[in-house]
Amino acid sequence: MMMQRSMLLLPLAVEATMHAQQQRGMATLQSISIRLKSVKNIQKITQSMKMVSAAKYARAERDLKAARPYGIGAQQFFEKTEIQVDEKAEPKKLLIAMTSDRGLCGAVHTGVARHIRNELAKDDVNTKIFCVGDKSRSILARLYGKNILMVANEVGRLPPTFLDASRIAHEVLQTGYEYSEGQIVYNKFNSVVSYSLSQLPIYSGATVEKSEKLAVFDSLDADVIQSYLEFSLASLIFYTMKEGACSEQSSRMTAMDNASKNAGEMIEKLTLIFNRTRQAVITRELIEIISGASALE
Amino acid sequence: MSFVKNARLLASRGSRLAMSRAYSDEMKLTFAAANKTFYDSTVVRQIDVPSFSGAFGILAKHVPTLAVLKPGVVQVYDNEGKVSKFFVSSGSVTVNEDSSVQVLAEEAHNVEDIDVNEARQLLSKYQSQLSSAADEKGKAEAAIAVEVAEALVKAAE
Amino acid sequence: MTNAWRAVGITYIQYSNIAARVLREALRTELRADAAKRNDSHVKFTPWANGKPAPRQTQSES
Repeated sequence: MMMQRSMLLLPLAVEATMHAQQQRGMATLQSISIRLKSVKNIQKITQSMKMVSAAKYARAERDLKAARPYGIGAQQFFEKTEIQVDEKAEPKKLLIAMTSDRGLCGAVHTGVARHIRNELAKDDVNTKIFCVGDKSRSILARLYGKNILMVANEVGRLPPTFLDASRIAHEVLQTGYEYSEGQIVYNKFNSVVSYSLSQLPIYSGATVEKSEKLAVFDSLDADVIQSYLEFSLASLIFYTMKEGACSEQSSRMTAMDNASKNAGEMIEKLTLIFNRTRQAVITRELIEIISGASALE
Repeated sequence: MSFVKNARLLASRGSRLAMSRAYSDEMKLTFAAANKTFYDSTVVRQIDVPSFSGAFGILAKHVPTLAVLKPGVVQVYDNEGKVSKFFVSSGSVTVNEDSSVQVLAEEAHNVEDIDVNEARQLLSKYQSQLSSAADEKGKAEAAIAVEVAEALVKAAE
Repeated sequence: MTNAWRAVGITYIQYSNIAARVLREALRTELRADAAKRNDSHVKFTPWANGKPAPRQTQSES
């Protein structure tokens, strides 16, 4: 009876041991093939993201080209009138971070946030931040949350319109924060492979009115200056949004392209390892069979 | 032969001097809207703008000034005297010391692109909106729309 | 003399937005569809206070 039971169990035991040995080699094989499949999927995703970015970039670049004369025109008054901030008075600064909600676009958002962090490291008492785009908020909220006035999001999915910029400018003015000077921190687009961190200055009506060179200007009343500066703010925000959008799309295109290339390299390496492991498993099985057969002789 | 070469050199240098001397005698106009650029640092003779400080014409050497636009027609006279008419919704006017002029509009189109019948319909639509407006803000907004529609009808006729 | 719109708290930016919208509505049919895209804005605003978001009760109009 014991013999019968062990007779029944023997083939099972043999099968189990063989299976375990196969598992040891095959478990690695299975995990490699899982990894291979997932990296191939990632490559497909990054490639399609690159295609989408390329299309959005083409549109953004066209938009920016059309908007550049507008943006440069909007800066002329401030550049040519050389407005100076009152050095004696206590400054109240406003920093507008021009980013978006979406990531996977290289260093566009971190660059803007880093510049703002550096400014705040110098003086975080008299400086407030207006975040355009969730990315700047998520980077700055940890250390400088107390300096954030407002966050504008749902930015970046669609190309920016003048109405978007108008509403942002309106909110900046409605915060009630009476800044004497400020900066819009954004990424200026240079070419498909490069963009540079830039700032555009913005001034309050009071600062502009105190400017020396303003005396040259004819028949200005406070109403006109106020309306003019309101419109200028909207214009500058519009222009920096266009520059930022173009920089972001080109950076995302590059980032996704690099990711696809990296994934491709990983696929090559993994395929080699997979084949080597498969051959090792086969060799091991052959050795076992042959040595088992020779042991029976 | 060398005389001719030197003369040509002197002539070109002279014309360059003349150009740099004359920069403030010329008005460089940048007239752009958020939707389109019409002039980009182009030399023109004159531009007439509708502003809150009254409609005025700008020529080279105009006194520096700032203004904000009212809805209306902008007329640009190029160096040959040809007039081009554009309708602007709103925006800013900057005349700098160096005679460069920037007219920036939120929305601007050639006057020919306005549909006069549409403009008339809009005028009556916003006039009725004005009379039925509930609060001060609604009234003010409708009044602005009426003002624009009136200017559109006037420009398109 | 303050403008009627300034007196009720409308900024020049808002004045300009209204004027631009009316102009777009008065364009020739072929141009109107393209222009209508400029009437859209999806940006949302959240004021912050003391290092935390302090959402408003009322939504700002688009």
